[in-house]
Amino acid sequence: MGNLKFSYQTNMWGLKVQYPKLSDWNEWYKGDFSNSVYYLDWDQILKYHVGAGFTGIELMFHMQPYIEQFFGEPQAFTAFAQERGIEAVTGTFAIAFNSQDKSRRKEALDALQTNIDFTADLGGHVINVMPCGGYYGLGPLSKEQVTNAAEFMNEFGRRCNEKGITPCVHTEFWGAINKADLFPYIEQLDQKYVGFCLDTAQVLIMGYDPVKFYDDYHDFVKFFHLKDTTFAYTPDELRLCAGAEFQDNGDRWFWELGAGQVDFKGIWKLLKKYGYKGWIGLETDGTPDPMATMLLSKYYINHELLPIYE
Amino acid sequence: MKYGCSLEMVNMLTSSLNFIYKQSKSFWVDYFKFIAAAGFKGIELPFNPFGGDPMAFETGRCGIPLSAGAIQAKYGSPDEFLAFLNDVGIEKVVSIHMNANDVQLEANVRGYSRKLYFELLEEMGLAAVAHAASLKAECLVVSPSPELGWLNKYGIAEDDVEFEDATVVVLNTVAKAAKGAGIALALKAEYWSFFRGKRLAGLQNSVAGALMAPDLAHLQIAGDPVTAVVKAHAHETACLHLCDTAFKDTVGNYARINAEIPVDGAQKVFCDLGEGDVDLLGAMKALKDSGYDGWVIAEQRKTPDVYRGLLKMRWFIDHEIEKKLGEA
Repeated sequence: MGNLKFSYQTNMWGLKVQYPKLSDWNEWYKGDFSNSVYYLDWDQILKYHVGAGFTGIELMFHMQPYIEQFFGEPQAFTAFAQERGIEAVTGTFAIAFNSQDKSRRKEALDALQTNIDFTADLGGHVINVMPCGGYYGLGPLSKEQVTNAAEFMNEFGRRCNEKGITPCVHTEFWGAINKADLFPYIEQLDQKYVGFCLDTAQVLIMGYDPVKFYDDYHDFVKFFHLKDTTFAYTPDELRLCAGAEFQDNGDRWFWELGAGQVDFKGIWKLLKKYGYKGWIGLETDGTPDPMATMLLSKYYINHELLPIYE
Repeated sequence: MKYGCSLEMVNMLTSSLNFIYKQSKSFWVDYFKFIAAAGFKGIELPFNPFGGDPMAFETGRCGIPLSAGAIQAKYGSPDEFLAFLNDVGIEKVVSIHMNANDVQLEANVRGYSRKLYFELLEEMGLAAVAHAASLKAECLVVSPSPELGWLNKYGIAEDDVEFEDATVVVLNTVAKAAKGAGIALALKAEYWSFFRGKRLAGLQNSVAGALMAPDLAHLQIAGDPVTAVVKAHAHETACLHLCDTAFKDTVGNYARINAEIPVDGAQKVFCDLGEGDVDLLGAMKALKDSGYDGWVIAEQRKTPDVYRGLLKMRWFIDHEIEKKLGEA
């Protein structure tokens, strides 16, 4: 049994997965005769994860209402997943809207409390949190706003810890906490309560080497979003414009592991060096074919990375 | 009759291959070209001005042209957006569709109260009028109620007169603004609506100047006599939604939350034109016989292949509607 287990963020399948389980496959296939039916329900999508060797999954904040509407309660969704071989819903992803604004601290904390409860009810142990919101419309943040955002995370961290959850800061290349603010922000976080989710592509696109980042902050990094990119060190004008996450020309920011410029082998050597044990998350949003990307990523892990450390 | 195409046939709220590409401007730029290539000269755009509901936030911050903000951020301005549409072969934005169920979802996030719901309904309605005016649309199509499932959850029964009266008050405010902008307000009742069935006609009579935007699939699922309804309201129809279904609501799904995503029984609610059992030709003949010369908005909600869907729609209209109406 290795030291690493793999979890996958499910956001590459759709903004929501419509159905818990299709009751009549032919209702969709007949007349269509395409593969669209393979992507319509949790029943099948969860089985793909288990078949590919991913025994953890992560949910997006926008899936919460639908999980609750279709499964009644988050625990029922976790049980549904476990029946299909998923070991754990490792956590969720949320955005700390307005956290740069001290006057809205209570409102912002209350808004995220539902995510703490949702994650705890799913049995998750991590909430990956994008601070504040997008750079476009908010940035650049003042020093005071950066401090406010850090103070927010520290308080949010205390609340999460009470339920056995570690909130992990998840920076985005298009986020309000951006290149100039990242390290001043990190310095103000209380690492007793708050961790970091190293999203390898996001960090590299923003302009930092994720290998060096992990070497410098390995104790702080409590979770990963492994994904690749071909847009290393992207200029500000492409990262900070309106709707930057969705390129107007349709280009992909993110790719399966091994298809871009992230030095995953460098990271794996450091995982070995620091003896990392536990869940490793993947997130490859942006793929046109989640099943292919999931399998290609697992192939790369099995054949290129696990020989270094497992 | 003139045929347009509803952009709601591109379903953003489901899992599918390459769904994320549909959030890029690139997809929509191409798709508008394909709509024109399929012979549709007009379009109906969905509208949602909110960003508190997480799905509205996700769909509102990308290339999907479903709000004034998205048009501004990704297409420059309403005028530039219209110029782009004209350039690729689409003559006009026929209509904007606002759905009160989106108001409900936003109210849920902000801490639902009946008062908040109606404040947001008015906010959305007035914003929709302004949006429609900026895009020189002829019509604002209004789905006037949230799903009955949501209403039931918040204690609003199907005979709640106060809810109906408050809806009338807000829609009259919106209708007045629409009239001032030279835009027709047309009502559309889904099979899960508080105003489904004959109740929609009552609402129409209570909202000054309101017209109808019948949706054939929703009428059929609700159990209404489709052709008779079209015939009865042809003189006051602003645009007709040409949609098909084979769905039978045998488990009372109409009164549940997410009524268009049934968990029990049959699950596929809508289908491509001609693949359901709505008498589309009969309804269109009734419309034609009434002398209607307005827009018909074709729509194949949740069609699995949005590109093939356009071609199937055009073929059906040409060969199963127009040709046969010409022969009739």
